[in-house]
Amino acid sequence: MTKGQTTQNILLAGACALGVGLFFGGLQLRDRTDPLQRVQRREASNEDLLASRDQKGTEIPLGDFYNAMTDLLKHEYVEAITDDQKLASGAVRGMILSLGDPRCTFMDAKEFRAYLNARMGNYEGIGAEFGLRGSAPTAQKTASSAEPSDDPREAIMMGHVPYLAVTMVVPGGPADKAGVKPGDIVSDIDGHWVVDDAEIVRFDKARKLFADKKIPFATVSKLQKDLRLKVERALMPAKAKDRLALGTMGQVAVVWKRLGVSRKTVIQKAPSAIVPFGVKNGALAFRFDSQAAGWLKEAIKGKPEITLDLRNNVDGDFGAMRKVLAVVAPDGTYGTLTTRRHETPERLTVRDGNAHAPKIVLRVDRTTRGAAAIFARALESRHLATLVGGKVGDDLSVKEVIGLPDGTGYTLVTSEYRPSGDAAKVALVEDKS
Amino acid sequence: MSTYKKFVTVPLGLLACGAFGFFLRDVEGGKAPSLEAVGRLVGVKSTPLTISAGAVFRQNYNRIVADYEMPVKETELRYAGIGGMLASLGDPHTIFLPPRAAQAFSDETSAKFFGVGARLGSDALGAKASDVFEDGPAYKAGLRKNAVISTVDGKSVVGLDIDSIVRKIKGPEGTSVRLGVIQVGATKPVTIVIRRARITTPTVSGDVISGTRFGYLMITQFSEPTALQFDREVGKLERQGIKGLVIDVRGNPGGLLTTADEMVGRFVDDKPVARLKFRSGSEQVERSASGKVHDFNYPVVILLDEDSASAAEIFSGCLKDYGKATLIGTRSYGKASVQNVFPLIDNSSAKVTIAKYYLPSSGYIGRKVDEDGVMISGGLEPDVKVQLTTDVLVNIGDPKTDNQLAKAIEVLKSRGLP
Repeated sequence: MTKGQTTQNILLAGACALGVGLFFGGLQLRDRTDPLQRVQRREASNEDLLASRDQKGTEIPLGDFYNAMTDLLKHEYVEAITDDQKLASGAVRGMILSLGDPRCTFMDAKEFRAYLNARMGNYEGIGAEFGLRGSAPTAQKTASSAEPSDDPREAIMMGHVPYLAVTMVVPGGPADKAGVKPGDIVSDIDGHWVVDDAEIVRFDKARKLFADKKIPFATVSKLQKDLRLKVERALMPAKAKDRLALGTMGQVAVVWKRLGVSRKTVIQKAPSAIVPFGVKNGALAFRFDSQAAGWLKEAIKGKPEITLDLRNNVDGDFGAMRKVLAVVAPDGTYGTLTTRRHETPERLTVRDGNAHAPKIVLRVDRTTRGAAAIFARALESRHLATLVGGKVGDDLSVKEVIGLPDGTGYTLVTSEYRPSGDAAKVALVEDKS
Repeated sequence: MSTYKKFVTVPLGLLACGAFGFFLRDVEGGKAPSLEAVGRLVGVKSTPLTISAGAVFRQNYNRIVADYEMPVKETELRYAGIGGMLASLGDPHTIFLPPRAAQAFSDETSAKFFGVGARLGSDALGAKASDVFEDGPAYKAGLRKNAVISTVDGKSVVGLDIDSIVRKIKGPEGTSVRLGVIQVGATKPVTIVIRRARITTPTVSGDVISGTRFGYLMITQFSEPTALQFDREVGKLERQGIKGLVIDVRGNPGGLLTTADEMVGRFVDDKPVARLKFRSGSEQVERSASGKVHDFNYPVVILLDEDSASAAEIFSGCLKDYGKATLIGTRSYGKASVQNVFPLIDNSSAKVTIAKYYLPSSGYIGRKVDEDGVMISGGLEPDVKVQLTTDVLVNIGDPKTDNQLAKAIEVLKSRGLP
């Protein structure tokens, strides 16, 4: 064997070893890229999951459950099933609805497209943002009671129907021109009652009073008749929202409630928009998106004092907000992101912040929501900004926005922001570390 | 091998090794190598468009469990997902039943559960026995209709809500419960010990309508024992010499198709009841029971409303189609489909629509609704239309306040009978 051959053999062995290493490296890498898709070595067949005597009560693995159900439907359901993705997004919809959380919304393809456009400042319909208000859940509802239902009668029986309220009105848009204000409650659209459980609670009370013989039957009977007529032409809040927020053609007749007073308007739908970045009355207005930090950095260059207008700022991107915070504020902790999952809360921190932070005035009101509200409360908690105008909105939740392959999508609340109670103390701890 | 070749083949071979590892999963799964996985590798976050539906479910399930702000009950989330999947078909009768609901559903269709055999209503002094089943252990132990239960196993139930009193009284077969009972007309409670047993709920009940010679039978659902219970109740009424019969299926949500076959068999012998059309295109004709025909030598009318559905509609529709009964009331629900219940190994089950059915001459009565859920067409059209008046407090089964029943009596009378 020549020296050259030995070298060649050693190199070859090395190459083989490297090849094997790369093979496992590739496996590892793939696991990390999509950890949720580990190959299932054994696909369960339909028959395995259908009950037989000896197996009752056995838990079915998640993936098998899905496959088994798809198989079952494909073989047995009365109509042909052609769209698997529709089944999958139906499943996601069911899971989101089961959370019973008005802050998490599943949207069909039309709604999701409009939602994404609105995040970019472009609105359809009457030009407003809406929120479902109601008691936030204390625990996940049981699956049986959370059966997804569009039937108002069922929803009413289950109780707790959130009501639909305006959270923001696009300046100069159709709703604005019609005098709609944030906080207005939608109570009727084109003659359809928008379900609101106050009405049902009133009826239940009357029924109890009647059972105790405190009011005559005629009173309950009238309430029941009214309610039945309403229910026959009822709109669930989510559907009602579609009628107001989708499309740019046609008009809607809406009855609004403000402080118990009803007001009827007829509004022509038309496209409307919020200008993403601009200077208005000496204040900088912007949207929390990927370009915000860069734009603001330029806009405040060399200014010792700035005014930011955070009104009509409802659904900003949380990640973008963190970057904007670093543009105007120094390093430190600005509160916590808490969850109710028994974990230590994550800190909202700024690194590589602005050491020469300007004096900041923030114009806010209740249309300052989500990321914008967190931004305002974060700066306020460290006494880095003066808030003028009003109270910020009560929505301090951090949301993920997830799109599904068939164009549908949903929002998922991942944490709640809490401003630090004793800002100075937190800063001190931070400095020591 | 030339040096040049080595420079090309060795790195290429190494690359192939790595790539083979990376894509092994796809190959194992019988798919083409996934380019989206490469996309994710370089930080592309958008959901790939060709991801499998099963993966969409799993990924989002995992996301909700891991990221949602509140703790999530995983089993319930999973059930909600499967429920949503079935709901996406847009068929209100294809539903997922989590274990508890599945058990309740199976109890309902067999009309059997464990207990003492009484229906309870709320009362200021505890719970009032609004109905005591004649075959049940409570009746045998001496409990009678309208008695008030004030203690359960020595403990007072005064002021408790009715559901929690029922929970205290229910229990496994063979065990006993001690009730303090104030019988009608008595002032002091007596103690009754009842041995719990498997109860068959009456689904057919009624009496002769006072002041007439017509019988009234309410069928609350079509469960396993319904046909036999019907025979027994009809026998009771006939012994009292009735000259006409009102069968009330208002609010009857239906039940078992086989029970509908049995029931129609009381009127017509071995005739088509419903033609079933399956997904595969195959058809099956359900026929009424043979050799069970009863001689109804008096007119029969059926009361139905918008909540009469499924087996109740098959029964009413067939009797109408074969000229055996007059339908009175409002348009029925219009459920023209058949479901099968598939039990799963974790005790949950899936109720899935497997066929559409067509009645002998009424044909397809499937309900159609507009986007607001308002019914456009479908259901059985009654021969005599009459809406229930709720201006007074209606007592169903009492012709003084139940105007639909009053109409039924009027129709029976118009047949030239007393």
